Order: sequence, then C-alpha cells, then structure tokens
Amino acid sequence: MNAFPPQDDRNDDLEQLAEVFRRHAPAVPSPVQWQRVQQAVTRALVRPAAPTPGLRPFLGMVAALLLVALGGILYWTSLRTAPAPLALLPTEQLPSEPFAVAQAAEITIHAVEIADADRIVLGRFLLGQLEFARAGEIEVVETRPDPAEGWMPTIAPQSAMPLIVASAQEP
Amino acid sequence: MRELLRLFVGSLLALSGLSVGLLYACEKPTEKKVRVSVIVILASETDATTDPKLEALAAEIRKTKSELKGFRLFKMACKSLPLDQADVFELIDDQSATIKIKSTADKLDRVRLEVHPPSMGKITYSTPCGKFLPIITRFKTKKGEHLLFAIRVQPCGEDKPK
Repeated sequence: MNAFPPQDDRNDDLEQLAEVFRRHAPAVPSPVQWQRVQQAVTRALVRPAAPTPGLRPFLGMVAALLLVALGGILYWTSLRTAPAPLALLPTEQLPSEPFAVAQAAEITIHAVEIADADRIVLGRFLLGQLEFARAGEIEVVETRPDPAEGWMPTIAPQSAMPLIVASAQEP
Repeated sequence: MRELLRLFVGSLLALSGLSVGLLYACEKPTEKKVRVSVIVILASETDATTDPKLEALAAEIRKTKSELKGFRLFKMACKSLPLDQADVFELIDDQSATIKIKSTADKLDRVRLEVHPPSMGKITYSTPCGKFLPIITRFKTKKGEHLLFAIRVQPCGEDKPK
C-alpha cells in the first residue's frame, strides 16, 4: 500500500539514468556556434522598438482636434473682419448722361388684348378714341384682284362710312 | 508775307468746311416711319352683343350685311413701318394682312398705303391720319364669326417728330 518505492530501488534507478546520460551525452557547442548565437542576440537587442499600437489613434485624434480648432478660429476671425469700404466716386465724376429710352417708333406691339390696349402709352394711348374714316376721306388709288380666287377689295357702295369689302372680279 | 497769310487762312477755312461736310454726311439720316395700328374685329351671326365702341360701325355694316348681328373687338397690333417696307400683321388663326407705306403724311396729313387683305388681292389708298378704315374679309373662324379688321396710321401733324 506504500505509494513510493523503497530507497534502494530509487538509488539504483538514478544510477542507471546517470549511466545512460554519460553514454549519450550531447556534444558541447563549438566556439563558432556560440559566437553566432551571441551575434543574433545582439542584433535583436539593437533593433528599435516598434511604437506602441495604442498611441497612434490618440495622436491622430489630437491632430484632428487641433485642425478643427484652427479652422474655427480662422472662420470666426473672417466673420469679425469688416468688409473693405466701397470706393465712392466724387459726385462730379459720376456719369450724367440720361438713360437711353426707346422712342415710340421703335416699339412694336405684335398683339394686345383690346381691354389692355389703353394701358400702353406710346406717346399717346395705344387705342385711344376709335374714330372711323368718313365718306370722302378715303381715296382709292389702285385695286388688284387676288390671283388665285379672283376676289378684289372695293369700297362698299351706298355706304356713308367707307368700308372695304370683297367683290368678285369683273370679267 | 501777305500771300502766305492768305494761303494759311484759305486752307484753314477749306479744312473747316470739309470737316463740317464730313460730319453732316456721317450723321445718320432720320428715317421717316409711320405707325400703323390694326384692330381685329369679330362679327357674329348669332350673338347680338356689340361693343359700344363699335356701335356706329356695326350700324353701317348691318345696312349691307344684315346677317351680322354682334361685333366685338378681338385684339390690336401696332408697328412703326418705314417707307416702302411691307410688314405682316397677324389677324386670327392663319389669316394675316400685309401693309406697306407708299408715302408718308403730306401737307394734308394724308398717308398712302398698300394693303393685302387675306384672299382679297390688294388695295392702294390714301387715308387721313388717326382714322380707321374697316375691311370686311371673307374669312370665318371655326366658331362661325366673320373676320374684319381696321387700319389706322399715325402720327398726325401735331405729334410728328420734329
């Protein structure tokens, strides 16, 4: 029921183990191998340490905040700066020519509702008084029939007011 | 010395005259224009309503064309026309009248003009300033209204350009 073997047995085992180690002992490294190992260790120690990854985001945020603050200051300054005063010409140097105004003869009214005609004034009201010519005031100089349909404009006979009507061309 | 002075003064006067002549020649001549107004009138055979401004004309037309009962003013156009330059006045639908000033106002304030009413050949007449001459065409609109138009020329003596 004893969990450990007797002391003599353990001594025998250790001696056997030592004997096996002596027979198969590993070769001692040569001075050249030791030198290589030493150089590798030295190189590793000389290489600069990489920056701590947690520091970069913090530095970026600080730079961004600084830029935003700088932009805000510039904008605020520009708002506070008064605009340059306008250079006003002396009164005597101002152009004194009258505005170019169209003459009545330069205006063409292509179409206007009759109700609005007298809202336009070209020297006088556009429609004004509707006065028709009286008998004897119109002198017909020449009439020519329509070449296609043969109708000709003539003064309506027996009319106190001259009216131009279409009449069939005389043969 | 006196000869030289005469030559100098003579040259100066000649140059002045030449300059004045050139300036006068370069100045744009004032173009005579006549303002032509055209009113478009529609006459109905069914609607007896007549514009009060057209009562006198309507009464005169009804003497020969009793079927025309009502008269109304439709629209107006106004153009300043130079001499001998025809211009087209749109009336209604695709109907138009061509008007040309043949001579500007004479001493009696009369203007001669040439008119091509739609489908009626042409008429040349002289008219006093400021008065309309009505022309009854043969055209009827889609609504059955008869097309009339009247022509007036201006300016008259009192408002001619000086």
